[in-house]
Amino acid sequence: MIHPDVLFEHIDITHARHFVDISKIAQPNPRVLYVLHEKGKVLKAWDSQKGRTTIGETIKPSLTLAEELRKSHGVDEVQLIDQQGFRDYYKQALDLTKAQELTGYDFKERTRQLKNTQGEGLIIHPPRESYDYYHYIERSRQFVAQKLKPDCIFLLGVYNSKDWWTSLVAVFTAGQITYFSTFEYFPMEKLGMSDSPKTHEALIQTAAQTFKKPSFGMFLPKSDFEKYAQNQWRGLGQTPLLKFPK
Amino acid sequence: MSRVGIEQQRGLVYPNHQVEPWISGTFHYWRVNPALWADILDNIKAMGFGMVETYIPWGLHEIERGKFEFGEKEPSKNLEKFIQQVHQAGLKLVVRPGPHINAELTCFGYPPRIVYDPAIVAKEASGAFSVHDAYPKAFGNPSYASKKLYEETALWFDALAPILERNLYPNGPIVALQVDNETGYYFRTGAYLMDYGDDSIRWYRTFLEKRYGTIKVLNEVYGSHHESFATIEAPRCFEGEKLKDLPYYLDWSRYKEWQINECLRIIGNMWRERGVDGIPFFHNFFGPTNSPYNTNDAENGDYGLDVVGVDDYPRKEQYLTTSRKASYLAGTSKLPFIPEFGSGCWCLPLWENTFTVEDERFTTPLLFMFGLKAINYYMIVERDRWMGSPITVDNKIRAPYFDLYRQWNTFLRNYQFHQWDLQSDLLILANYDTERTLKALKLVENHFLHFLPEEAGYQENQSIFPYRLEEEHPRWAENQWSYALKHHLPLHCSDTLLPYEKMKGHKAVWVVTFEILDKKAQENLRRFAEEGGTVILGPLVPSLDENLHPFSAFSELKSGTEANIGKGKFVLLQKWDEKEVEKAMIGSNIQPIMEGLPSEILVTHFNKNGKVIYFLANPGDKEVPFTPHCKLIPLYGVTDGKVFTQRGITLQPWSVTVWEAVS
Repeated sequence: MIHPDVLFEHIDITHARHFVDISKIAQPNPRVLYVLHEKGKVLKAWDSQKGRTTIGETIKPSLTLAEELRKSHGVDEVQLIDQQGFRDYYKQALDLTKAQELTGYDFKERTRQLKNTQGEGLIIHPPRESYDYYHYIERSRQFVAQKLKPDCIFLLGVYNSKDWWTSLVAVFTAGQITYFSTFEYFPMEKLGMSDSPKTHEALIQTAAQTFKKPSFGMFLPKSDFEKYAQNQWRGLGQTPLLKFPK
Repeated sequence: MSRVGIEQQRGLVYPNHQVEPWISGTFHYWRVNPALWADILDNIKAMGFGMVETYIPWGLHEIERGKFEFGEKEPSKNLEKFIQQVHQAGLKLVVRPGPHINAELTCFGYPPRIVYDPAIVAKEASGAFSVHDAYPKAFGNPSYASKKLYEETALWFDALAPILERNLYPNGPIVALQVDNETGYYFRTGAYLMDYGDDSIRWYRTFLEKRYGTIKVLNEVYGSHHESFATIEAPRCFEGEKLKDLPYYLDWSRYKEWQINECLRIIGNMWRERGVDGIPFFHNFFGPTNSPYNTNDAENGDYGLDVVGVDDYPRKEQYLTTSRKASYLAGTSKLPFIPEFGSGCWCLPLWENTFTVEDERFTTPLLFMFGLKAINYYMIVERDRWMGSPITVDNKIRAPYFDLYRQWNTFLRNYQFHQWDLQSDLLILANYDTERTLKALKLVENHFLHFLPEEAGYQENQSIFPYRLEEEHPRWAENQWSYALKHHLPLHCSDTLLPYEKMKGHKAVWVVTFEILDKKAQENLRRFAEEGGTVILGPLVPSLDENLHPFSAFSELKSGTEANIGKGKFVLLQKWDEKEVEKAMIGSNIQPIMEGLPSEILVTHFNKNGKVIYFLANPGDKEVPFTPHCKLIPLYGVTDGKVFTQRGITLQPWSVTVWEAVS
């Protein structure tokens, strides 16, 4: 979705920090029991909240065992990691040819999917929908596919009282984002009254005229954006999408 | 011929003996409209900079293998025009031509053909290629041992060297060159993450042969029965069962330390062979100061590097790490230098550590407070994939950032800060052997593709150490640094690889020690005590050398916690007890810099020709009032007259201030 030579310019550092902060509120961050073993011989058991723990000297890795451990240790997730199984996973995941063929995001997605196909060598129970910071990718893709056009501008404006709290300008070219900025891109005089529908209309109009592409805009209060972010990867939000030309 | 040199602890020195402080900022010419270059350079000068720095990206200038474009078609690639404009502006130029540069470029500045070449890309312990799963494009991490990497790099250097050579000072503005960039396994600090490619394993065996000379000696150390060096396989995780198994694993880490330096030696020589010489060659480690990175080792003269610094991108809340890093460089390097200090922040990918001008207002003077003498702000001119610089890509001024640098540079220039010396009585040494040992004890590494808590990766076998080294060492090291700051001790830091000559002049050396300590380091510490200093050790007395052979230079501590040695003494701190530490400091005649300061205040002091200036910092959210022991005149950071009265000072939250003592 993002072009390899994408440009990032006019990024308001405070808006960027807020964007990062809000994406953190929906981090999976489960309590995990990690069990490192070598063909069933337990090398280490580690509870991400309590630290060192014990589960016996040997295990026979299986989903049934993982579920038993999940319940008995009161954790959200169990990872049974065989030394060789883990290496086998990396061998599959770190494929140089795939790295060259795929976008960075598709490569990451491939490595994520492979975590759940390693049999007894790497059991992650229950399997996660996301393992890292970039868990908005799939939902963002759906949003782009369902609501935007391959060549367009998308503006996101999140306001707090009368100020802009975070913002985004994304330029799509042939379905890929080729340019990112924040509302710092616009002249100051266009940015007054962040909660005013007139301002929102003016911004998407300016964007459409500047980039000579249809423009879409989502403008919402911070509280609504937080709810949207907390929902992780489900749903595309209820905020109306403004369009120019209509 | 030496055109430019390094003046110890001061800056660059020219043939006429003039010394210039190394204060520069980064400007990526190719990312900015060339029509704006001259005006931007004027604005850089207006901020008080005398030097600029730029990467020169191989991947940008190479149009096909062995063919390069330097502005013939695209004006933004006209490197020589940029260099000449820097010269015309009266500025000096620092160049960083790679081959690796990162620069937040897709493929880190390498041509794509390099980072997808199986003959060049490094391998992980699993046998997989080491792939950097970056956005927007994943790519392979080149191996520093790849013969083909150097062959291809030679094509780049052949094309670039003539341009650099004819623009070296004094004919042109180029006064320093960085050899490669953040050479250190592409942020993969774990010992067993890479590099297991065939070329690297050959280097590993060569390293072992150089270290041991004969296979017999190696077998004695390892307790092994290898027939030749060619049969030795590299460890892929820790599988030892006893302490005596450790040397094999420690050697893998030693090899990786050497691999970095050897790579830098080769690349530096490639420049010299092409006539680019006579200016300081420097390098920048990306952040950590423990294995496989080491400034002491890299600056020891064997690798052709004049200065080795460490990069830093901190938020103000990370002041403990940043202050320690500056202090480490001050105690270690010929020129304490941060070649990349965050002026703004990258935005691809967005980083949770994003910092703002409020962070920089605190952290920038904090570095100098702890002894930094040279710095490059990365970036002072904003561009694609970067945010928060003082000058935007279209040459607009971001006033708060611009003013910060203008004011700080004015202070540095007006007070000729590079000529002042940080006063320190106490030298804190990080235990490099312990830190290397911790790297060796990993069953599994935290990996970019799959997060595991750091602690989850350590081996559990208590027949290696009967205590948790991975818990004890960081606890002692953190307590040590916090204690020193809280009690306002005059100090420098370094690590146990520090040559003896650099220990001299301190009253005491304090090292957190366990069983293992390099023989040479032990001998240096003993010599320091014999010649009148105090050596503070603990919680354990070192009893083994780097090969795990029984050796202790501190045998006198077998029968007590203190022993007189020559003109000095050893002190052993067996458990963490602040009263015992205080007793050791008093016994070493280590006095606080300023009496009566609130513990939350940080203080250092500098001396020049009998004059003293104090740095006072408040690393917290609340104002801190106090009454100093002597009259102080504000020099920097005190803009509100209310904070300074005849009776006392109130330090504002997150502020660094500088004061001159009036007798």
